[in-house]
Amino acid sequence: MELKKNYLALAVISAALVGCGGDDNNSSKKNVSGVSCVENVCTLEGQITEDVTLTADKEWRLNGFVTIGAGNVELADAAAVAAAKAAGVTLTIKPGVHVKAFNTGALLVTRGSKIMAEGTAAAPITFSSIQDDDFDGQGEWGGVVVQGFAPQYGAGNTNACFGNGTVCNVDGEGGTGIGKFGGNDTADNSGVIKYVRIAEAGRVAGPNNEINGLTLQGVGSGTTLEYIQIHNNLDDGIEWFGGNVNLKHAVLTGNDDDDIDFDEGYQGNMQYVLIVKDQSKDKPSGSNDPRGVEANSSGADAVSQTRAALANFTVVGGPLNNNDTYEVEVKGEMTKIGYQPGLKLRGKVNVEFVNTVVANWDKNCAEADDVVATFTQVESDCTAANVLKTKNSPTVTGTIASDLTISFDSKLAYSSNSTVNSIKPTAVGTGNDSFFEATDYIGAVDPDAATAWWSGWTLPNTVPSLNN
Amino acid sequence: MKPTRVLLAAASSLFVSQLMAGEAVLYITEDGSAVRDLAVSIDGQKKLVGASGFVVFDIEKGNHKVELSKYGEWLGEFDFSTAGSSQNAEVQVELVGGEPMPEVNVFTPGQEEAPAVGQLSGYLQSDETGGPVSGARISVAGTEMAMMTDADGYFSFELPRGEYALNIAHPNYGKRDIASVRVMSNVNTGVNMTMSMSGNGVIEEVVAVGSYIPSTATAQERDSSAVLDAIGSEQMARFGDSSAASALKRVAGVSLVGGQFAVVRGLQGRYISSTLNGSLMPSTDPMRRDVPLDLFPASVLGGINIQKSYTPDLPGDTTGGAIMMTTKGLPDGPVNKIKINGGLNTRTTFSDVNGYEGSDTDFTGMDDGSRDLPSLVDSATNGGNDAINYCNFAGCTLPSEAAALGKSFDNNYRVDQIQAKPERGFSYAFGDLISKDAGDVGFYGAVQYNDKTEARHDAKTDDQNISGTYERSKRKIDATGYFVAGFENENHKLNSKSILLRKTDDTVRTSSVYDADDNQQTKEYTLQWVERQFLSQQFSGEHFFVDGTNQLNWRLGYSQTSRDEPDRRTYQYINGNLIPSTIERRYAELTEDAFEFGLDYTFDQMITDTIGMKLKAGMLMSTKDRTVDLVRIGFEIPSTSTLDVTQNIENILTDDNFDSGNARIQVRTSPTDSYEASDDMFAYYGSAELDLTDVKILAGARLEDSEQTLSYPNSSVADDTLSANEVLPVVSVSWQANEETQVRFGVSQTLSRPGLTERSRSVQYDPETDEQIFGNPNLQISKITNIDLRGEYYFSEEESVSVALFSKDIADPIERSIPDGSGSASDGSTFRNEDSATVQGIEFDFRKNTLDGDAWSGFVSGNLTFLDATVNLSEDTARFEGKSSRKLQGQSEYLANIQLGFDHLPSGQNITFLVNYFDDRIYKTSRALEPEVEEGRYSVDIVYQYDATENLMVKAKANNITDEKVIFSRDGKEIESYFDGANISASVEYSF
Repeated sequence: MELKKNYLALAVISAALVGCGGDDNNSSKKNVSGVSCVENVCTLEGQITEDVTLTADKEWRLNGFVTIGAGNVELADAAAVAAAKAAGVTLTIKPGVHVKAFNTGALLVTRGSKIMAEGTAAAPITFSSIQDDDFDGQGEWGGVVVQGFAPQYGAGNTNACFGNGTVCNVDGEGGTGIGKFGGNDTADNSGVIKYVRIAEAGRVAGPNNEINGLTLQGVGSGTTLEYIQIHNNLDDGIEWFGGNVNLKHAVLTGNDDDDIDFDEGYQGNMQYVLIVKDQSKDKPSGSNDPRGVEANSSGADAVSQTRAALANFTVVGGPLNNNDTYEVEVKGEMTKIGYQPGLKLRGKVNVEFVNTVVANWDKNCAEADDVVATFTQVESDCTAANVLKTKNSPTVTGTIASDLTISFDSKLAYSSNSTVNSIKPTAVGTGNDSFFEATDYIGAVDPDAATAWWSGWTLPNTVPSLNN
Repeated sequence: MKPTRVLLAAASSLFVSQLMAGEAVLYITEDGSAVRDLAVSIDGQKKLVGASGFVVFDIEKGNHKVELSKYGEWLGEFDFSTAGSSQNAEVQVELVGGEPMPEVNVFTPGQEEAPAVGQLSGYLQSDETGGPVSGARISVAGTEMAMMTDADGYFSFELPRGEYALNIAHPNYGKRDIASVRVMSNVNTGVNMTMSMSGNGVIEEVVAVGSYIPSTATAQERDSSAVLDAIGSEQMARFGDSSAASALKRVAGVSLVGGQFAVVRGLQGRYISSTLNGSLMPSTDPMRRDVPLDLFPASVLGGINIQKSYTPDLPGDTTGGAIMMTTKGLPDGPVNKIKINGGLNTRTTFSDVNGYEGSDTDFTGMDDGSRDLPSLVDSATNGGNDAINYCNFAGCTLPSEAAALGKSFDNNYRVDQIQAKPERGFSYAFGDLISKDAGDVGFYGAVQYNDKTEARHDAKTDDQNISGTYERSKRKIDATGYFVAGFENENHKLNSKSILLRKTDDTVRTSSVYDADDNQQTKEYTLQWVERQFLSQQFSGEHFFVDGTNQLNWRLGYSQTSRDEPDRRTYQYINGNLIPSTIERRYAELTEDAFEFGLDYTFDQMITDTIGMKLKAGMLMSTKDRTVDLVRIGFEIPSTSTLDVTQNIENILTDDNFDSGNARIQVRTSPTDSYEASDDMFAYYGSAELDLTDVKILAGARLEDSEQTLSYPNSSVADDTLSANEVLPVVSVSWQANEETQVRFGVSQTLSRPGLTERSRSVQYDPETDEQIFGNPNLQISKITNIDLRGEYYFSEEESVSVALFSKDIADPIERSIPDGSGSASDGSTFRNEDSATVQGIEFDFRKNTLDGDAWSGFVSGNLTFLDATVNLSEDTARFEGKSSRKLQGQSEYLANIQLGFDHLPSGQNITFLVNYFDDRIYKTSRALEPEVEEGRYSVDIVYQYDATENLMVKAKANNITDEKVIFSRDGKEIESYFDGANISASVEYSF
C-alpha cells in the first residue's frame, strides 16, 4: 500500500501507546480498521468499511486516500447495486470537528455510503491542511469527494451512464483511487454536509487529475448540501459530475479555478451562493481558467441533459480573471489572452439565472455558447459589449443588465437601483417545488438582513471586504 | 518441381582458342556424379581433384601412367598415351565399385573433323535463402552464348569441349566470374554454385550434389497449401528495405502503421501472430499486442514469410496472418565483410531540431545512469511507491529532508535547438563453414550500429477549437549483435542462435497550442528516452529419418524483452507561467522473460504412386512473465511561495528553491501503476494433408490452453485471471487445374487474446500522445471464423497473377475504445469487446517481366487490395461514439503497391522504383465525434545497387521522395499534419 513507510512509524507509536484505537476513545466504541488514535490525535487512512464517528474532542487527520465504503468498484448488476447499498457505511462528523489532512490526504465517500457532517453555525466542521494553522494555503491536500447512485450523462451527448440498463460504472476524475460511481437513482442519499468549511485543498494527483474542494459525482437529491464554504481550492470550489443534489447557502472564496462547476447531466437547483475571487492574486497558480460559474465542458463535450436553476448568486471576480497581459499569436494576429468570464455557459446546457449579480469580470461577465439560458433580474458592471458574449447561436431569454455601478456593503449585499420583483426560478426536478425562496433582492445576501447568513460560521478572514 | 532445362545448341563452327596443347583433363565420377577428395598422379606428378571435379595436367607425348588414391588409399591405375606434343587427352573415369574405369579420348585441338560436344549445366543457389536464384544471366566468355537461369535456378549449355569462363550477372546478386570450367565430350558437367548477394565475391563451385528444396518466394508460395507470401532477403535488398517492417509493405494486402506495425488483410497487430525462428515473439512495446517489426535489421534476418491463412502449426491468433521471421543461418564459406552507411533527410539533416543535455553515453543507446531515479528518493519512498507526507513533526518528511529529496534530481529540463547530424552506421559480419566427414560446422556473427535523427516538420494541430504547432525530434540509435553456430549434414541440423537487438529512441517534443474555448495558451515540453532490448538464445534442431520422409524439428528458447523509459520529463507553461502540477518525471520499466519449447513432427511420404500423405503434429509450451514498474514523481510549489513562475524551469527547480521550501517533490505513483503478469500457454496440434496429385486436402486442429494472470503487488486489488481452452480447427483444399493454374479454399477458426496491457488496471500512457490508456480487466477472448479462396495463374515460371477472396467473422472483437469516464477520466482510451466484426476483401497480385534482353532486364509487379471491414459496436461503445457500427480501426479500404525494376546486366547495376499507397484509415475513435482518420497517401522510393567489383558493392536509396504531407483529419477537416522529409542514404560494402 502507498504511504506504508511514513505511517509505519505512526502505527507503531499508536500501537505502543494505546493499542490501536483505545477504549478511552468515546467517539468510537470499538476499534475500526483504518482509524488509529494516539492520545487525542486520530488518523484515518485506507478503506473504512465500518461506521465511524468523528468527535470534536479529538484532532482528526486524513492520511492518504481515505475511502468510506467500497461502492466505487464495478457493480455488474442490480443485485450488486443492492448489495453495495446494504453494505454502505456512515461517516459521522460531529459539530466542531476539525479534520486536518496531510498533503497526501483526501476523503472519498463511495456510493452506498454516507457522510453525515452536520455542523452548526456556532460549531461548524472544518477540513484543512495539517501543514499550518491558517487557512491561506492552496493545494495543500486533496479534498472531499462524494459519490452516489444518481445518473451521470456522458460528455458529447452520449446519454445516461446506465444506457439501456440500470447500472452505471463511470470512472471518476481524480486519479485511480477514485473508482466508479453513478446509477439510475436520482433520489439517492449520500448524507448531509452542513456548516462545513473545506479549505486549502485541490492538490493535484497527476496531470489533469485535480480534486475539487467538494466533488460530487452522481450524488442524488436525497443528499443535503447547505452552508458550505470552499476556500482557496487549487481547482474548482464545488463541481458536480451529473447527479441531482441541490445546494443552498454556499460561500466560495479564493478558489483558483471555477467556483461552481456542473456538467455531465447535473440536474438541480442552487440558491444563495456567494462567490468572491482572491482580490490580490493576478494569475491562477494551477492549470486553471478561473470563472465564477462554469456549466458544461467544451462544445464538443456537450451534454444536453445538464439543467440547473440558479438563484441569488453573487459572482465577484478578481485580478486573476481579468489578466490579459499575455500575448500570443492567434490565427496570425497578436492577441491578449488569459481573461475569463464570470459565467461560462456552453455545450447545450439549459440554465436559468435569477436575482444574480456579476461584478469585477472586466473583460466578460458571461458567455453563452450553444446553450439555452434565461436571465431574470441579473445585473453586472460589464460594458454592453462585454456583458454577454455569444457563440454558436445560443437561445438566450432575458438580459444581463450592463454598465451598472456595482457596490457591496459590509455584508457583501448588493442593493440594486432597479425595481426588483420578488421572484424565484422554476425548480428543476421533481420534489423540488419548495426549494427556492422568492426574494426581492439581487445577489446572495439580503441587504435588509441584520447580519449576513455567511457571517459567524465561515473561516475567519476569508471573505474579503468589498466595500472599499 | 522438376527443373526445366533449356538446351542451347552450340554453334558447331565455334573455335575455342583457350585450349592449350599438351593437356590431360581428367573428370572422375561415381554413379554419374563428380567425385572429389581424390588424388590423381600422372607420371609421378600428383594433384588433387578440384571442387569442380576436374583435374588438369600438362603432358608430353608418350605413355602416361595414371594412379588414383583417396586419403592415401590406393584405388587403381591405368595407362594412356598421346602421339604428339599438341595432342590433348580427355579422360573420363567412372569409379565402379571403387575401381577406375577410364575412357580416354585423345585428340588434337583444331584438327577434329567435328568438334566433340559436351554439356555444361548447373544450378544457382542463394546463400541467403538456400533457394534457387532465378533470372541470373549466364554467359560464356568469348562466345555469343548466354542464357538466364530458370525459375528453379537451372541452366544448361551444349558446348564444344574445352575450357571456358562463365560470367554470371544477377540484379541482386551482382556479377560473378567463374574461370576454368571444363567441358568434355559427352560429359554433362554439372556446376552448382552458391551465390551471395552480400558481395563477398565468394562463389563456390560444387559439382551437382544435394537435393533441391524450394524455399524462395514463388516456389515456396506455390508449394504451400496455405496462402503464403514470402519475402526472401534478396527481395528485401532489392527494395532497399532496411528492416522487416519496410519489407512487409510490399506484400499484397499488407500495410504498415507508423512504420512499425504490420496490418495484414486489414487486421492489426492483435490479429497477427509473429514468430522469430519459429518461437513466439514477446512484444517490447507495452502499448501494443504485436511486435514492432523494425526491431529487426535486414542484416540479421534471413527472410520473412507471411502466411495469410491459418494452419494448425501456427499460433492460434493467426487471423490476418502470421509473420514468420528467420534469422540468418550458417554461411556457405568464409565471410568477412564490412559495411558503412550514411544518409540525409532533406528536411532534418543539418537543420535545427529539439535537443537537450543527455547522458555521456547516449551515443551508445545506453543511458549512463544519470536518468535513474535518484537513490535517495528510491530509498526514501520505497522505490518511488510511497507518497511523501510533509509536516513539521515526527513521522513526516521534514523540510530539510524534503530539500535533499528535491535536490537529488538533476535540474535538467531545458530544450535547446541542436543541429541534426546525418545518419551514420556500420556493420561487420564474419563467419565460416568447415566441411568435415560427418557434416558441416559453421558459424556466423554480425554486429551493427546505426544512429539517425528524425523530425517532424511544420507540424500543426487544429481540433475542437484548440490549435497550435509542435516540434518533435527523435534520435534513433540501434545496435545489434548476432551469432549463430551450428552443425549440418544431410539428415541433421543443429543450431544455436543468439540475438541481441537494441533500439533506443530519444524523443523531444515541444508544443504550443491555443485553446480558444479556455482562452489559454499551453506550451508543453516532453523529454523521453526509451531503450528497448531483445535478448534471445535459441537452440534448435531438424532431423530427418527414414530417407527424409520423417522430420522432427525442435526448439528450445529463452528470451528477454525489456523496455526501459527512465526519467521521462514533462512540464507545461500556461499563458507564460510554469504550472507546477504539470511537472512530472516518470520512470517506467517493463521486463518480460519467456521460455519456450516446441516440437514439430512431419511424416511425408507417397502412400501409392499417385497419393502422397503428409502428417504433422506438434506441441508448444510457452511461459511468459512480465514485470511492469512505473514510478511517477511530481513537483509542487507551495502556495506560500512567491517564486516568479514565468522563469525558465531550470531557474525555478533550483537547489536554492528546494532548500528554501519553495519547491518540493511529490510521489504520484498509484498502487496499481506497477503490475506483474504471467501468460502461459500449452498448445498441441495435428494435421493431415493428402496429396492427390491435382488436389491437396488439409485438415487439422490446434488446441490451446492458456492462462493470463495480472497481479498488483502494491495494491490490495485481486488478481485478474483469464483462462481458456480453445479448439481451433482448419480444413483447406487446393486444386491444381493444370501446370499454370491453382485454386485454394480454406476454412478455419482462430482467436485473439487480449494483451496484458489491455487487461491491466495500471493506467498506461500512449507513447505518441501521452493520453491515458485504461486497461479493461473484463476483456474476453475474441473468436474468428476465416474463409479464404485464392486462385493463381502462372504464365511463366516467374510471372504470375493471383486473386484472393477472404472473409472473416469476428465475435467479440477487441477495439481501442472510449472510456466510460467522467471529467478528465473520460479523456484517453480503453479497450472493449465489441459485438462483432466482419472483414471481407479481395486481393490482386501480379508480376510480369517487361524486358528480357542480354543487357537489360526488367519487371513490373504489384498488388492491390480492397477491404471492407465493419465492426458492430457494443452498447457502451455505440453510446459513446454515437453510432452502432463503423470501419474497423487502422484499416484502409484500398492498399496498393507497384514495383518497377530494371537491371543492366553487363555492368551489374539495377534500379527499382517503388510506389506504396494506403487509403484513409481510422487512427483513433473519439467520443461523440467522427473518428480521427489518417489520410491515405503515396510514398515513392527508388533503390539503386551497383556491384562495382567482386569485393565492393554500392547501394543507394531515396525514400519518401515525394515527401507527402502526413495528414490526420476528422470529418474531412485537417486536425494534424506534418512532413517527414525525404531520406537519401547510401552504403558501401567491402568483403575481404
